[in-house]
Amino acid sequence: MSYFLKRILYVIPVTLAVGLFCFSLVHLSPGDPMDAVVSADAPSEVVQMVQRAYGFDRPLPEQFGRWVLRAVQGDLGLSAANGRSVATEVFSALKNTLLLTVAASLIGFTLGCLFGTLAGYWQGSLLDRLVTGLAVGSVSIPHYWLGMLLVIVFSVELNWLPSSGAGPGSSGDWAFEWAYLRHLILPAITLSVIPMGLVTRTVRAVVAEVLANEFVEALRAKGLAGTRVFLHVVKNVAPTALAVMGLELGYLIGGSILVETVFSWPGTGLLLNNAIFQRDLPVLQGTILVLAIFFVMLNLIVDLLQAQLDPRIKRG
Amino acid sequence: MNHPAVAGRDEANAPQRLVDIADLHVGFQSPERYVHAVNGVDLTLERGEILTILGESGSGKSVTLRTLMRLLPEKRAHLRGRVNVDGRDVLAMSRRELSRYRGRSVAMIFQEPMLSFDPVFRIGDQIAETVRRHEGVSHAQGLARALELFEMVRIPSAKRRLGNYPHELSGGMSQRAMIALALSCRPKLLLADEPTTALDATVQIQILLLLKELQRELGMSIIFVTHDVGVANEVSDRIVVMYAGRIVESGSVGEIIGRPSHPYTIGLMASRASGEQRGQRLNAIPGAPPDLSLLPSGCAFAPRCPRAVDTCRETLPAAREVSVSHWAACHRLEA
Repeated sequence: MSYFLKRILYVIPVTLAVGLFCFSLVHLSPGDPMDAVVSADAPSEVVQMVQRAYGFDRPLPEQFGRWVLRAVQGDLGLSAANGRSVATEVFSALKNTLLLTVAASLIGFTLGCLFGTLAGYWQGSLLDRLVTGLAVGSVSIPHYWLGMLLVIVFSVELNWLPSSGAGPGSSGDWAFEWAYLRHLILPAITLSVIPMGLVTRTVRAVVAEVLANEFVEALRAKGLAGTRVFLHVVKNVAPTALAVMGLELGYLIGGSILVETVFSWPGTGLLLNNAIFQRDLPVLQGTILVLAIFFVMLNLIVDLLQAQLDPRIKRG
Repeated sequence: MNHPAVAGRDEANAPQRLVDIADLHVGFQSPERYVHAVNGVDLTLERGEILTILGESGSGKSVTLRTLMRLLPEKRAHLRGRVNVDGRDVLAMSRRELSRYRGRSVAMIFQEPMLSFDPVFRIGDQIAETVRRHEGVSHAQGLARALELFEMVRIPSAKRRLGNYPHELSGGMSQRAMIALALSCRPKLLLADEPTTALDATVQIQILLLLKELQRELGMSIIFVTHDVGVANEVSDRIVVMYAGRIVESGSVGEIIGRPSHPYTIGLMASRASGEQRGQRLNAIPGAPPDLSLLPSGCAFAPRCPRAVDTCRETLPAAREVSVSHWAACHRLEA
C-alpha cells in the first residue's frame, strides 16, 4: 500500500516543477510579453498601466506566487489577444481534444492490440510480416500529410465527410449524433495511425517475449488449453502495453497540434497553434500547464494500474 | 492396444508397463538444417520405478522427456515411433486429449522453478487453477488442495505462502511449490527435467530426498533427466545413458556406477571430481559432442572413443548384454 501512497505524493513536486516551468516560459521566451498587448509605439504611461494590470511590474517570485494561487483557484488569467478568460478557453478546447483523443485511441489501441497479439503469436508468419510492415508504415507516415490526403479523397473528391470543425454551427457544444460524429471520423483516423503502429509493435514484441518464457511451457504442461494460456499471456503483456498506451494517450493530447490544425478542430492543439502565432503568452502558459498536469495524472493512473497488475513493481 | 478413451483409468486391469517407448525418432526442422535430436530410443518404465536419463546437453534427454508430454513445438518437431504411457498412445492424442492428459496422468517439474510459475499470479491460485482444470472443483476447493499439498512438500507457514507471488519465494521453496503443483492431480508419472541443477548444493539434496519420499508415499513413477552422476546415483533405481540421441547403456544404478561398460559411460564416471584427486586435472572426455544435423553412419561416439576401430566408424553398434539387466551399445565391449 505504501507504494501507492508514495506514488501519489510524488505528484506534488512534479506538478510544482511543471508549474514553475510554465511560469518561466513567459520570461524565458524571446521578446517582451507586453508586445502582444500594446503596440510598439504606445505612450509609456499606457505601457506602465497595462504592466500593472497584468502584474508584470512585480518581482518574479511574487509574480509566481500570485500566479500559482490564482491557478489553484482555476483562474489562469486573461488572454492577451482577446481578453477572454484563459481557463474557459482552455477547458472548452480540452473537452474537444479529449473527444478526439479518446476516439483516436479507441481506434489505434484496439487495432494495435489486435494486430500486435496476432503477429506475436504467429511470429515469422506471413501475417506477422504483413502486420509489421503495416506498423512500420503507419509510424513513418507524417500524420498532417495523411490528414490532407484524407481530406482530398473523402471531403473534396467524394464529398462524404466534412473537412473541418467539430460539428455543425460554432456553439462549441457536442452531442452524440451523426451530425457531430461525421466531423470526428477523419481527424480521429488520422490521429490514430501512429499510436496504432507503436502499440502494434510493442504488443507484438512483448507477446513474443512472454511466449518465450519457460512458464508458458509449464502452463501447457499442467494441461491448460490455448484460451487459458492466452489469459496468462494477456496479464503478463498488460503492464507494458498499458505503459505504452498511457504515454501515447498523453502524447496524443499534447501532440495533436498538427492534426487539429489540418482539420481546424477546436481543441488545445489549435488553441496552442493560434496562441503561438499571436504571441498570446497567458493562453500558451495556461494550455501547457493544464496539458502537463493532465499528463502527470495520466502517468499516475498508468503506474497505479501497472502495479496492480504486476506485483513485482511494488517491490522496486 | 487399448482405446485411448477407456485405457488408463482402471489400475487393477492395467498390468502393462507405465511407459513404453519404441524406436522413437525426433527431428527439428529449421530453415537451414534438420537436427536429429533423438534417433531410435527404446525405453520402458515400470510402475513405481525411478529412472534417470543421464547425458550431457544435446544428448536428447530433455527432448525424450518432453515427447512423453508432447510439449515440443508442433510445427518444427517431427516425431516418429511409439510412445505409450499408461496404455495410451501419446503421439495419437488429439489436442483436447492432450490437454486433459498433461498435468493429470503425467506432470513435470522444471530446471528453473523460479521461471516456471507465471510471475503475475499468486502461487496458490496457480495450483488451484490446475486442480480446477482437471477435477472440475471450485476455486476454493482448489486452494484447499493447494494448502494440503504445501504441507505435504513441507513448505513452512503454508497458508501464508499460498498468497505469495513467485518472486517472493527462494529457489528451494519454489521448487517445493513446483512439486506441489505437479502432484496436485496425483499423476502416475512425474517427469523431472534437471530439477536441482539451478539450486544450491544443500537445497539439492533436500529436494531429491523429498522427491524420493513422495514417490514411495504416492507410488508414482519418476523419470529424472540430469547430467549429474551424483544426482542419478542418489535417486534412481535404473539409469540409461544417452549420447547423440541414442541410449548407449542401460542398467541398474549399481551396474552403471560400479561397472560402466560403454566407453562413453566409463569416460563420464572418470570425469567426476572426487576427494582423492585434489590438485589433479579432471579426466575430461576429449573432443566435443557430434553435430546432430550431420550424424556419422557408425557409432556417434567413435571420434572421441579411445577404443574405436574401423567397424565403429562404419556400422551402428547394437545393444549387447553385459548381464541380465545391463546392456551397452558398443562393438568393443571386451576391448
